[in-house]
Amino acid sequence: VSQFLQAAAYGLVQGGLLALVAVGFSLVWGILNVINLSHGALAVTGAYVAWLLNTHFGVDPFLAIPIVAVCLFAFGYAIQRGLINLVVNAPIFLTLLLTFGLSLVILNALQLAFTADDRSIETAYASQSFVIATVNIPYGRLAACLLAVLITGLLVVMMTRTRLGRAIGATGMDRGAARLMGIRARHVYALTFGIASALAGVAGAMIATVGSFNPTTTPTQLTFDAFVISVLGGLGNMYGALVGGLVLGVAESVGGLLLTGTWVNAIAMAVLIFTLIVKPSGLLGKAQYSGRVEV
Amino acid sequence: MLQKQGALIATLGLAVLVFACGAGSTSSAGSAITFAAPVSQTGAFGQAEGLYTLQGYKFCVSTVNAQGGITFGGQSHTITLVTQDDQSVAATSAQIVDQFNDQGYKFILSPYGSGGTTAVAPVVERNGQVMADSNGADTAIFTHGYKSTFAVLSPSSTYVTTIIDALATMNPAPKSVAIIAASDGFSQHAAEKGAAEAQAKGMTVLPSTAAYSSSTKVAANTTDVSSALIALKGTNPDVIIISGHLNEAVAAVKQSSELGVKPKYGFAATVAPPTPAFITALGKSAEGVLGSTQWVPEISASDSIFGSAKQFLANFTNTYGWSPNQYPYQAADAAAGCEAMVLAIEKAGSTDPSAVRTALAGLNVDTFYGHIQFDSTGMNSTKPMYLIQIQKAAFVTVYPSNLATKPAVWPAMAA
Repeated sequence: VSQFLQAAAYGLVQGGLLALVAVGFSLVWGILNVINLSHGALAVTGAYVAWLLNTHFGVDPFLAIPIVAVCLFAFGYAIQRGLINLVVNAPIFLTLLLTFGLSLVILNALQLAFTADDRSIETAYASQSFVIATVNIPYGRLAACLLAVLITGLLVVMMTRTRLGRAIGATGMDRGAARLMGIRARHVYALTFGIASALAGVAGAMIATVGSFNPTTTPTQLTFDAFVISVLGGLGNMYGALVGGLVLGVAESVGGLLLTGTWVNAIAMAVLIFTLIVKPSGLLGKAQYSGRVEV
Repeated sequence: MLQKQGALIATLGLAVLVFACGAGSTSSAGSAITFAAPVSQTGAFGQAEGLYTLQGYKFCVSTVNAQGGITFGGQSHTITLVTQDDQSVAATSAQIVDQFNDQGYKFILSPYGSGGTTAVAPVVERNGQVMADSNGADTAIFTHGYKSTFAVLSPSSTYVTTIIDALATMNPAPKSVAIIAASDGFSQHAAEKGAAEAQAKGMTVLPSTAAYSSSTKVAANTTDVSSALIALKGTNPDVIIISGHLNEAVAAVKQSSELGVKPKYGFAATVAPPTPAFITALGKSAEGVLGSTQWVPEISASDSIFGSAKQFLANFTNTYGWSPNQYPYQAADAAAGCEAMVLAIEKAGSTDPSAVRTALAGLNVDTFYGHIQFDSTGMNSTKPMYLIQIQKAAFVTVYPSNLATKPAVWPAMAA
């Protein structure tokens, strides 16, 4: 029982970290209808920004979050405005190819700049934990998990209570009508991609703090996780990524305990397939996104 | 004054003439011989093990060349080292070695690790190349009947058994151990033999003898071993042993704090602890961790190329800027593999791959690395392994007792 509780608790905080990775991916997919295969690359870019700030200036990774977010927002805005907007009306395969190519360019540039070596940000607290009954809760992952909840909450507030959020939502639902209402779709898309990139960067900074990263294997795993969580949680609901991340985290952790640690990807796919059979729109997905208007 | 200068020039000229004649009477410069190596410079092994291997190869080549190169048939042949990054991917290693063959490179120095060496060995066999294996220890490599792969290092079967044998001599000796093992062949084989050795020494293997292949098995090179640690929660082993490489060992020590799964006496691991990157990655958490190693500078062994084991350590660490307290043993493995190839070519008196293969098979020499003699499968199976402990950020040899420079700090975990 103690092992099960530990696995569930660890899975929950790990799931929060996964949710942080996925929330931006889900946003871009939901609003732009772009499956962004460069999402993992953007997250790792954020990890490098945090690592550089920590290594050269001694900035704590949590304090580095605003800087990472601003850098990645600017990068993401520029990519969307200058590149992806050119093909945003094209069939989804073209945007898939474009973001895949973009991912390769970013990762090769990172590899040239930093080599493919594993890096991590060392802090005194990230790998420590506190105990509730017999269950250890690690500080670093808990902080990342709480950050994911906070960011998701802020995103919901922004999307529902601000003009920008409503403009993003409207553009996501019906681009033509949004344009007729005076919304500059190109700018809104770039803002959305910028926000998603900033969130990816923050997730990358957290991953660098609680674990390690490199430009070869980490991005692929992150994009894979983000894809699974987005579909699992359901598109069109800000809480979808959070719930999807938590469910996946617990499933992988408990599944890894019951089977072995080498089965985590298989467990993730099994959970996804089962959910899609039972509820094709995902755990919290809305049907409206399948019937939206693209003009 | 002019007369004095003239006499000086004449004397110098005579000296040059005498030196040239003298040199000519021993050996003249022959064509260069190429050693080719697919070594990881990026990827999972790029930061540590691959780098150390590459430095070992480079050190060997520069040392041999500084002594005039490989001498046979009255000629001295310098060595040219050609390397290519395999990105820590075994299949890439094999492709690179095929390309080496297309370029006419027949003398192969192995990539880092059992995975890469396993992929390269059949390619070497097919192409009629010869490989000195310096860092591929998985005994499975030597079960296929290959005739052209020769490993200077001790096989995988001894990595965890050496740890167990050393633990049995410590005070207090552990009554129970847990073995977390990566899913690759090397790590699984080392764990299997270690579990059997632990039982033979009267230790209980937790949570079960075969757990290394089920509940405490983790993906190779993973940075998340939480599933294995959670499986150990509540079992309270005296020692946790990690059979794997750098990533798994670093993750195990890091995540054990996160999950509150700490062994009573301490951690031990294969491969990772005797590498500088382990200390860099873990800082103070690396203190007290035990690690099995292929080579320690305290062994009484020497040869004419590198001198004694201690001289090798001093010269190598000076050349590459390592602290003598944190030397990468993989570099010694690599230099020994390269040296075996050099000695075989000298013995063969030829650069014909077939003759060199035969010479390697019959090699029986003492080196700075210890005795090198291959059995019929190509393994250097008589070479022992050793145990170090990280004490105050230094590698301290603690086993066997006749080589120990300090006693082990034991139990290693702070109460």
